[in-house]
Amino acid sequence: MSDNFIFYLKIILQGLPDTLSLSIFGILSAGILAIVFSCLLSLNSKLLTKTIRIYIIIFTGSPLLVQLFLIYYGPSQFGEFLSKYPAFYDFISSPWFCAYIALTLNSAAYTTQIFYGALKSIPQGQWQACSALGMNKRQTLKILMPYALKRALSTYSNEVVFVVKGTALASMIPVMDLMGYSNALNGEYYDFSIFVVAGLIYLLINGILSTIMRIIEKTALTFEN
Amino acid sequence: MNIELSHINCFYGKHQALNDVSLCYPLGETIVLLGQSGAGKSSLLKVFNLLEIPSSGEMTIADSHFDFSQKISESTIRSLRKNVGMVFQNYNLWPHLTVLENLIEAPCQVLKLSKQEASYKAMSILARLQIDEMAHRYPLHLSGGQQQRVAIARALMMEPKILLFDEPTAALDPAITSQVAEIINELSRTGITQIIVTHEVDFARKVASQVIYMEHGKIIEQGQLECFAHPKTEEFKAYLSH
Repeated sequence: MSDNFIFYLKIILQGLPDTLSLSIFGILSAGILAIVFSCLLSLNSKLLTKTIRIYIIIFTGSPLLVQLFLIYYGPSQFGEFLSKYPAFYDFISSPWFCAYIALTLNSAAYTTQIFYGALKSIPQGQWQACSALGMNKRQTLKILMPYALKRALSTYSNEVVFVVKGTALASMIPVMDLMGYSNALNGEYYDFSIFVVAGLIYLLINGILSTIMRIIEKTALTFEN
Repeated sequence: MNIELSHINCFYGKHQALNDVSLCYPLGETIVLLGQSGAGKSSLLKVFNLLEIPSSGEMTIADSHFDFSQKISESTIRSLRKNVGMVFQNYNLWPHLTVLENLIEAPCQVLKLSKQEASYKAMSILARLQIDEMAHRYPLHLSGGQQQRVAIARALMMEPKILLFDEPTAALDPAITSQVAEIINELSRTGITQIIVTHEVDFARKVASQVIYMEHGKIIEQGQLECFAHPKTEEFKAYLSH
């Protein structure tokens, strides 16, 4: 039993780089996008707000798996046109890149809701304090956005864990991540303990991640206690 | 140079917060706005830095003139605010920044001071208000009176010609209130114009050089310090007596 366990573990861990790279890059780019979108939303421009709202509805309202398939299989519909630019076509049609784009767009939609919600919940007085000192919108956001982000951290750490778990879906298009190797193994040996191993690895990653997030949160919120 | 308002009207929806308010004072005075809550004192205060934009009337502050029948651009509003500072009732300090950071943020961003210059200036203002040892602490770790002084320091960093105070003593105990009064008196000796909203008559007596009494969005009585002893209107007499 334990021999099998270690055998499975060794093979599944080959997928760790893809899982980790997708998670880290996905989380980072979604975070940056969400900050940009939150700033744009706070400008109160009708057109911008509407566009971002529609984007959020689409990406939070449809399954991540559907988004993955659309982004992965979609461009091949225009294969004739895209094959004129082979290097570009190869790049955008690689499974890893498609999974990265899908995860980023999906998570950015949720993260924008978290960040913009935090920005909106900053008391009116804080905004007035900025105005009263002669600051414009950009200068105001430069002060208040970090405050919003710090207050959003505890909600945001859930989203971070969701992204890591979401990477498992990338095996469907097919990225050879932890889940990709687990699926391949299962095809060969048909043993449920393969998925126990995979589950434990995800659990461990998320455990470490939550701890890191809690430490960040504690340092970021020293001003409160 | 004067502060002058003429025929200012201000609405919140259908409710008229300010009703044909006109006044004119030379710079350098310490003007106290008295009245019960809902009298329009805070609305009037916020007109001076255009946090509240009247629907009609005109205002002249130092050398800038505003006609509220026309739309006023954001940039002229911002340039006015460089000269008119404000201290809020609940201080509105940025809680995630230290005291020093709270002070240097606006001078660095708006006045384009270097961080070093701004910090140097901040430390001297904090020392003047006797809170320099708090420079690296966060606002929420300070007492109410200390936060109030940080808020005053933050406004002073911009070297305003006029300083507005919204209920500066509302959340403070009596001992601290008299410290705030001392600070205001000290500031008025430097020639800065101060406009103070309060409903504490004792506090008003300590700091005022000019008094304005308001009811229902109108100015009922204006005068110098003597009008505390000899109010001219029945309304102000009634307000002082309770």
